[in-house]
Amino acid sequence: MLTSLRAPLLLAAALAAGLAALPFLAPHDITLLNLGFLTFLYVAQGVAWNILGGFAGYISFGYAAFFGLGAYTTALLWLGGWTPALTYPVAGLAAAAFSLVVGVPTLRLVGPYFSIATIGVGEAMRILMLNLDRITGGASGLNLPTAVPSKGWFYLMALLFAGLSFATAAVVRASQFGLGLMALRLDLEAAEGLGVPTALFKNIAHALSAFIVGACGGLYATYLQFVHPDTVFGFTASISLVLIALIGGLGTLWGPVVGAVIFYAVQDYLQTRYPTFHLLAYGVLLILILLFEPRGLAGLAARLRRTVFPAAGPGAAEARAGRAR
Amino acid sequence: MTAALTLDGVTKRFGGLHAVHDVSVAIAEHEITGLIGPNGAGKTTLFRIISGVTRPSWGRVMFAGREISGRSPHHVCRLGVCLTHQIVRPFTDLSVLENVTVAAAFGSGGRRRDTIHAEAEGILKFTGLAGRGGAPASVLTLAERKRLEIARALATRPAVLLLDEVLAGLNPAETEQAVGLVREISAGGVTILMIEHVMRAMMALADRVLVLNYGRLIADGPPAEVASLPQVIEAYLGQRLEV
Amino acid sequence: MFSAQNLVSVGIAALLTAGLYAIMSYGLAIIYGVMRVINLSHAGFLMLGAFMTLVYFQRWHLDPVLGAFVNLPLFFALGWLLHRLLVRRVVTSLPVASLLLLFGLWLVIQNLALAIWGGEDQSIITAYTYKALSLFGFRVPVTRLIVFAVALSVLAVLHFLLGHTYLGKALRATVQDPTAGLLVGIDTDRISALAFGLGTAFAAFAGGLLTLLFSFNPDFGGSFQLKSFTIIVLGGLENLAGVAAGAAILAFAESYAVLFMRASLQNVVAYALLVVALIVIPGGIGSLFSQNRS
Repeated sequence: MLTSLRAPLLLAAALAAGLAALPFLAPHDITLLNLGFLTFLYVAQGVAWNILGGFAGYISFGYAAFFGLGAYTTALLWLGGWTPALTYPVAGLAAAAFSLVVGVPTLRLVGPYFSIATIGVGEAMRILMLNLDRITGGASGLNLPTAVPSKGWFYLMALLFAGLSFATAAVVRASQFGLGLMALRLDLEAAEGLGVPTALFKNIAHALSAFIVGACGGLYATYLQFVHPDTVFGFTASISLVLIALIGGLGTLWGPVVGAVIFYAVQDYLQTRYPTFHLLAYGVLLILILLFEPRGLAGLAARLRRTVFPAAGPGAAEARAGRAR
Repeated sequence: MTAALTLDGVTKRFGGLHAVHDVSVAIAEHEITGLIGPNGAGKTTLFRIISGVTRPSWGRVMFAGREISGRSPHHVCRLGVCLTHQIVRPFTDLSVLENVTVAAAFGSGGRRRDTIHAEAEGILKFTGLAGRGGAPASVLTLAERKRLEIARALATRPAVLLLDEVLAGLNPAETEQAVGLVREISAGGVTILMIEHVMRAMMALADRVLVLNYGRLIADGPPAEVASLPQVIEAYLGQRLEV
Repeated sequence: MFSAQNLVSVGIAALLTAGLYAIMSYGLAIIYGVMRVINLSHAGFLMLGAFMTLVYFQRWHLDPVLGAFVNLPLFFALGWLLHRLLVRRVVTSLPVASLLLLFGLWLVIQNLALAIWGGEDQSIITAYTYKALSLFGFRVPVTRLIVFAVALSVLAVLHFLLGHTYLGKALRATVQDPTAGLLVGIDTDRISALAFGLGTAFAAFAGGLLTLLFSFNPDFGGSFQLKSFTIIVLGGLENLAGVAAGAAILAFAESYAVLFMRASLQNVVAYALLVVALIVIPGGIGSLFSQNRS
């Protein structure tokens, strides 16, 4: 309610239209199409995670559970004869349903304790899936059918997911629901006392983002043609989303988009040159962000804008005076 | 007298301690009712029970013929009972107008989007914050923050407003302004229940005063009468010394 | 499977594990109690402690138990330093800021270990690694007994120190009520640094002891960290002896659970207990320390 909807949607649509041209211009550049696919998938997930993590302020370290559930839902349905594309909404629903089961009790916890609980849930899911080997193939994973669409198709699907995820986040942010999320992030008890149904809103945000991440999991399974608990349920999958949002700017709309691009770029670069150092890079990045600019790149951009245009912005002068007080 | 709020045997235990003990009272509609008592008497706990933040161990709270005890705070607010906090809690990252907008958007049942903004502005004007709409809530003075706290509560269109020490920390001029605001709110038909320690203001404002001590209701009546009751004096000053 | 002898044998194993769990969680408990911060780098220091013990063993043939003790002063200094440089400076605009910072630190530590020692499993084999003693008719591995004995003695010494030194009392006071602590003149910044140093030291100490029982690699530590947190949630924090209670509960629950399910699922017991304990213990243990203590 406090932000506009049209501007970001138009910008995103233009960007997406531009990017969508690639498979038609360079249909044989597999490297580029793969790059695009993985980046868009990160964008979709990062933006979705941010709905709960950034807008509502509940930092989950356990989204791999949703990614993995989505991946395995698609995998099993596909092996059962379904067309992959039809499985994605189901994958999303499975993840969303699980998010409610886990979320209703854990979202009542105060911030850091919620985060710890999510680590526990995420890891528990991974171990459970490893052990349910009759269904999941356990430690050897599941091999999936080889008849898949072209890389161009995957590129466009991932772009579509990213676009839908972004649109969802933009709509949430501009809506009354988004206003409620922001209020409960700033002061849960005060928001509750002013009529915001905090428990309901938190769970809706959780389920919505879980749905998107679950669908992404399904798409990824199709792409990889293989699922294994340690990949799709792994802790790395979870922390990637946390990092993406933090790098770009927690709670902002475009932050996770930029964060995803940078995150994937760094990951790709490191994987080729210094494969053993990616944890170090993420760790250092995380520490630097938290010490100097917790609002990530969005925060840096805001600071830059203030030094270049000091008078601009409503309440900017007051805000500075207030801070100096 | 029609009762806006009815408390029936409300009791709250924390372990062995009775923070509130068997409080039964009917709060009259459209009046200003004061709630006083020494520190630790259970006044804020009672407010928290009424607004739904805490569940009573026993007893019920009735509002407009329905039981509201045990309902979640947001539900109670939407039904029409709103609480302001003793230690003010503005949304510091938002502007003054945005703060009130949150309350206006969620407070009392569904409202059309286009009217929310206008309503918020109107309330800012009413509470004397009209010029401060764009300022971030974090730069407000204490007196302004208290007014913002009230403004937010008003934006939820309450039938009953619970004011928790709204005059605390204000200088004489600010106190007078605040007292005037409370009178105007009451004149608009809102039932007010207020906890206060600033006795003079309380005596001037309240139509009726309730006195709580160690969680029990020990007095109930017009301000002048209550102030001279021996048990009330004893509660504040201790027992009379026989010299 | 459920014979009396088997049950007692499992019980003994559980008791011995409880000792280890207690000393392992102690570091986390101190930091959490004093600073109200969840130290996600705890796992990293457990792991580093194990690796350093390996270094002492390989270079100077130092027994792992002694190696663990060597870790104490070394990692105390490291912890103190990290507190001054990093932890103290975190802007608290984000409630989870320190949690995330320490998480970042964990990632860095993991990677450093990977770079230095590689990703393979390591283990320390001593003269007594495979020996077992006969205790009341049950065969108990010597290593488990040693770890239990060391853990118990150290905990006893700590208990004494906490109760009888100024710093110990200051620490306990800050755990019980930080504001009151400030009011009586306790320098919370120094106490926090002390707590962080101690927490790091004990994590590394426990890591050293763990080498007697487990093989380890740079990923090691994550599950122990979650178990440590489970323990402090279960045990409560009114006094640091609650850690012992929590350790016992978890150790026994885990050990007996394996009678009913696959061994590979054992860690799920800890995670499930963690989540349940967080939810069920009065509003989650976090509520005991939230802003409004009513």
